Amino acid sequence: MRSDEELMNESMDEHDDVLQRARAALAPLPPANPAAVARILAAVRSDAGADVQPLRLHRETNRESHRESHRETRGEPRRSNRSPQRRWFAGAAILAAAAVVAVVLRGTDSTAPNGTDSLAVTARGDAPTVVAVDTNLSATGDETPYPAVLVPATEDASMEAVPVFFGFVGSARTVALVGDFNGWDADSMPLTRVDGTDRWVTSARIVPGRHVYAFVVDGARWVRDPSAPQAPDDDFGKPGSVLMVTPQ
Amino acid sequence: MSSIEPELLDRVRDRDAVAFAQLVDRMHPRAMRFALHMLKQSEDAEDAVQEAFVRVHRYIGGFEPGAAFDPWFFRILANRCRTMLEKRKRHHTLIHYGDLPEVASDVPDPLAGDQSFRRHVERVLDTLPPDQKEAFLLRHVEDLSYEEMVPVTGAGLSALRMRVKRACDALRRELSEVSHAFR
Repeated sequence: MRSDEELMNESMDEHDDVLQRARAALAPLPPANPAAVARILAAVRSDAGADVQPLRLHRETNRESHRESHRETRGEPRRSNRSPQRRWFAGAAILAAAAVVAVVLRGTDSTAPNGTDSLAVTARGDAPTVVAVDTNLSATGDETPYPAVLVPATEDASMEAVPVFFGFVGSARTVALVGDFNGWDADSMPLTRVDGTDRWVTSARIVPGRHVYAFVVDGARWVRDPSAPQAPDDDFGKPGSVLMVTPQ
Repeated sequence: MSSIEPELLDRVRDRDAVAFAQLVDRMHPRAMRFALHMLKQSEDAEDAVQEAFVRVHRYIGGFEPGAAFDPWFFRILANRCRTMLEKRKRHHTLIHYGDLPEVASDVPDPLAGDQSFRRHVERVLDTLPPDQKEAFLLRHVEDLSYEEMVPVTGAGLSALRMRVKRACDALRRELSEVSHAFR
């Protein structure tokens, strides 16, 4: 039970002008970061599928993470002073694969309008999968668009269609996904706006191979994915991006 | 109170990949705000946030239907931030150079006053013990109730109220003068 003095103190805090200004100064949210979201989804897929955390190489071992997370989710206190072990091989293999394909596929420029951004990652089964964008690569380049690279998550590859998650950020009334995989039909794959944001999402099952795709904004304006290489063979004379889907 | 609708959480619990992507998309800015305030380094903050979401996905099946999502999420994220701070303490020695001189501009920036005040606020927050800073951010920036903060922090109600009060006292004491200057 709170004492009257505690209640009074808190009430004063709530109406204290200095504190209100401090709260307001700390309240602004960082801008949306689709690339960071894509990295998180890829890390989640790696954790769910490979039982390792390949994207970060300096964290505790997976077994330690599981133990600690069990304690966290049960509300038990954390244990500290763990000795970190590294999972170099899995992480290095995936990053190397992404880097190699990035070098091969990187595009030359971006035609996306200001204020828009997009991401594409795949989802398979119960979790988002596969590294679509390794934004760490951008630090070494000069604004080179990222390829939408899909790295096989397992060794038993098949040629079945792979679920791919698409995201788009920008002010729009409607956004649709078009590509060679849907006959460039702007009505077949509309994106859904995430409530209260200017972010749009959808998913589609796409067969492995090279594909070209774009977004149609407000039913008329074609926008290519700035995070993927530009397609040199623009279909219909419209801008497009290259998506490489590998079997899983 | 939860910032995420129960319907979306139900879909995430059912392992709907698009729903999970929407959850990440929705919570990411708030998660980054909290982690950046706590850790002050964007790379560490991104690591902590990523690890938190990995754990959310791993353990969402154990999340009680109908419960508020924010306290559950911030418990995981706050633990990741504490772990990061402990590691940093073990591996780094911070060198304090004091306040850097500010460069005066000939062109007045209408937002300069706000940004400078924000820097003052952050500077005061950084002088606080981590548990006070954490409690203040959870209560007054993330708008968690004291009851919701209990499982997030592992501290009792009285201790949490005291931490927040001490943080408020410090902010009030250190900011009262500069607050007038930036009006």
